[in-house]
Amino acid sequence: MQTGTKISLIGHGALISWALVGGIFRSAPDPVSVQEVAVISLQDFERLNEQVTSPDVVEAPETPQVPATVSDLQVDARPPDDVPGDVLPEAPVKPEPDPLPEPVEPDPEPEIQQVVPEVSEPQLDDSPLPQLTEPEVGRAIDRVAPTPIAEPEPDVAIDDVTQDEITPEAGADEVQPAQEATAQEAASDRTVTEAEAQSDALSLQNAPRPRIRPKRPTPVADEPKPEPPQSAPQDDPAEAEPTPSPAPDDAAIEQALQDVLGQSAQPAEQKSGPPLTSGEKEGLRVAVSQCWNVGALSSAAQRVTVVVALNLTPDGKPVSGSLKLASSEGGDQAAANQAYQAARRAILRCGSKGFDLPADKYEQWRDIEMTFNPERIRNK
Amino acid sequence: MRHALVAALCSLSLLLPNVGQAQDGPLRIEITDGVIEPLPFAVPDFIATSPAASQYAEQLARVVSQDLVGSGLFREVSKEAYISQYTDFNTPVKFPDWRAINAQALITGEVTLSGNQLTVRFRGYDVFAGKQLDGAGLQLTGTTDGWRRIAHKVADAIYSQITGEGKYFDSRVVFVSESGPKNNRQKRLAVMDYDGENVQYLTNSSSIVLAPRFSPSGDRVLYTSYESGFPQIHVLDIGRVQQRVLSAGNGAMSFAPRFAPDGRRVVYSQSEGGNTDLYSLDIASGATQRLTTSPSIETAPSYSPDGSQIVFESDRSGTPQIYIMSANGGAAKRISSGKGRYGTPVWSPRGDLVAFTKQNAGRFHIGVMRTDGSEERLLTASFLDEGPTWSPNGRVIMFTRETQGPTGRALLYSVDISGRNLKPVRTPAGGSDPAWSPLQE
Repeated sequence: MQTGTKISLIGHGALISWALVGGIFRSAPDPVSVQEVAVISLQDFERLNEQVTSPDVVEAPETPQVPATVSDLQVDARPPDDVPGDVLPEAPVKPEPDPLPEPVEPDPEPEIQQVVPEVSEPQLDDSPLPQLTEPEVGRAIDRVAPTPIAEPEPDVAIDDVTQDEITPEAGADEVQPAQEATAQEAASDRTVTEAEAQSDALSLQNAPRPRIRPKRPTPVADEPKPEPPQSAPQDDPAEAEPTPSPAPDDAAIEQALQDVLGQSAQPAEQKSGPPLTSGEKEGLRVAVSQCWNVGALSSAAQRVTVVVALNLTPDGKPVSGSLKLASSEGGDQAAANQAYQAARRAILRCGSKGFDLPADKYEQWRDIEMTFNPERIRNK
Repeated sequence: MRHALVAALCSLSLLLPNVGQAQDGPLRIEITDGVIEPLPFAVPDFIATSPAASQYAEQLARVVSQDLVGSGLFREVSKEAYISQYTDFNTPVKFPDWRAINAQALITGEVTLSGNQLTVRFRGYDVFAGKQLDGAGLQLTGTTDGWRRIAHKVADAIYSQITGEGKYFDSRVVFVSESGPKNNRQKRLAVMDYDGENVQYLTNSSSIVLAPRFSPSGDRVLYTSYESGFPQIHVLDIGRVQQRVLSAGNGAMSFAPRFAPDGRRVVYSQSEGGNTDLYSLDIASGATQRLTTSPSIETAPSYSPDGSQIVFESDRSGTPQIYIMSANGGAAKRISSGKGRYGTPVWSPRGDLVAFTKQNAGRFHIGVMRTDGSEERLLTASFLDEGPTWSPNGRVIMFTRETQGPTGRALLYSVDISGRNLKPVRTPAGGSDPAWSPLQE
């Protein structure tokens, strides 16, 4: 064995021995965490637990009071003339007869007779009347409308129509009729209960301060460009030719023709003139909406959808005798009748000056069916 | 080519029906938006047939107006706007004059006084229809002492015909009248008209009284009194002001009573050995029946209108919540599910809603929910609101609101079930624990 090999063996052996004996592979002990605890008795534990889970008394009687003495009884009854002389206390409560509160005489019962006084036919005066603006009166509730309406100026009359004041200018070439400024009454777009109002106020208090600067506009992502159409492989001429779709047979063409011709061939019901545009229909819908008041309806009537049929005169006024309840859905007959009455009032009231409809399309809007669906307004 | 032909025809078929629909049959539009606002009405002073009747003629019209306006569903058109002067009950109404001032309803009346007998004839009109309201042409007769009731009946007839709701103006409220400072509050039972008029006291203030409740016929009142030193249920005959202890309870504390719809039974809470459960009592026989046996506190019971179920408050889940069970007891189903504590549930006369008190996040609320617990709506929020009671028609809720601080007072408030028309009820002193009577007959 060579000297170098011996030295290497001795050195490695010494190193291994030192590693095993010297503890280089031994890990240091983990630090020990110490937590102080206290030992309590079972009784103490149950008592603590009982305090946590004990229910709160909500309507527990208060501490019993000293019984009242009957001699302290104070009589304060109204009116004083209603004292009967034969009132005696009952035995279980009062040991001796003492003054008792004066008996309450119920108000005299009115007798109701179903006597409807006779009345002669009213003489209607249809002469034009000045439109009066209603004086402002104290309002018990907020008005709810489809869209919020700001509080009008104090000197502006309240009306369904908003218009500016026009004063005739002195010396003007054309004399303009004077017009009073009117505005719609203030309204919110939903009913706000006291609970909701306070909740909203708290939300505002807790809301973060608004940013001074607006956000940078988000860059619009480039629309993905359409990929160029993949050219069909031209290797096989038979595959390159597009697959022929099923050839439309004559029956299909004939069916399409029947659809077109059949649907338009209703000469008996056809009305002349162009149809109303969607804008004209929307104008009529908004006009009636402004007068459709469901605030004075019962909860049951507010769940009924009614369809009202009516005729309009050429100047856009409803023919009052033509209004009728075409159908109803969502309630009993009484509720449907109340809902119909509210719808009828809306039509007559807002149509009293004539709805703004194109005269040349009278044939289109002479007969109307209006569906009054309260679902949205009911939940406001 | 054939493809193009079919496509063109199909496109044409899509376009032409629109034209066809527009031309065929009536024009159809759907209205889904409207407004919620009080309905304007006019009520001129009633016509007096004699000078002696004139004071009642004016007062009757004012009370009718106050009733309708107070409901929150109507508003009166000022007399200054009138075009027609109403001078004769039998003169035909000039509807255009009333339309011009946007009075959508008109109420006219005539008063005749004979001795102390008051006869009132009245009519209600739908102005825009130009006709008399159905059922709103009546004649009422009563003594002069009861003139306010006559006015309430007139207002009830108009209100009911226009809104479709039941009547409620001719009703009374029993409550606890409170006077004096907070640390020495004097409490006694009182009864008044629903609008705070004609207050009459039923007990003195020598002992604490709590939670009065009307009988279904309106002639008796249940309440809890500490007259004997601990809470016991008493029943009081309003007409004769005679009271008696209803539940002996064998020395147990009994409280929170409420009549069954048939008036023959009473459901109440009884506390024994630190446990509070619900019991029912047959008034005629005095027999009692225990309805709950839970180790928690069960209280504030209220019958459904048909008497088959009871809604009550229990903390069996750890916090006070609302439960419903059969009127004979048995398993109960929890219906409240929101955050906070729920209490004092009261079943609506219509049967569809339960009113309750809710405490959450340091505020008290009066709210309503359906009987399955759905559609919970909080109507009020304040330092302390509690103890709701329903109007006879189930449209209005009255409750107690107590203000904060050492000078705080308990007052009665009312609110429409929509959450609108929240307002105080006028009482001579403070008031709490209101209970609405049924409609007077």
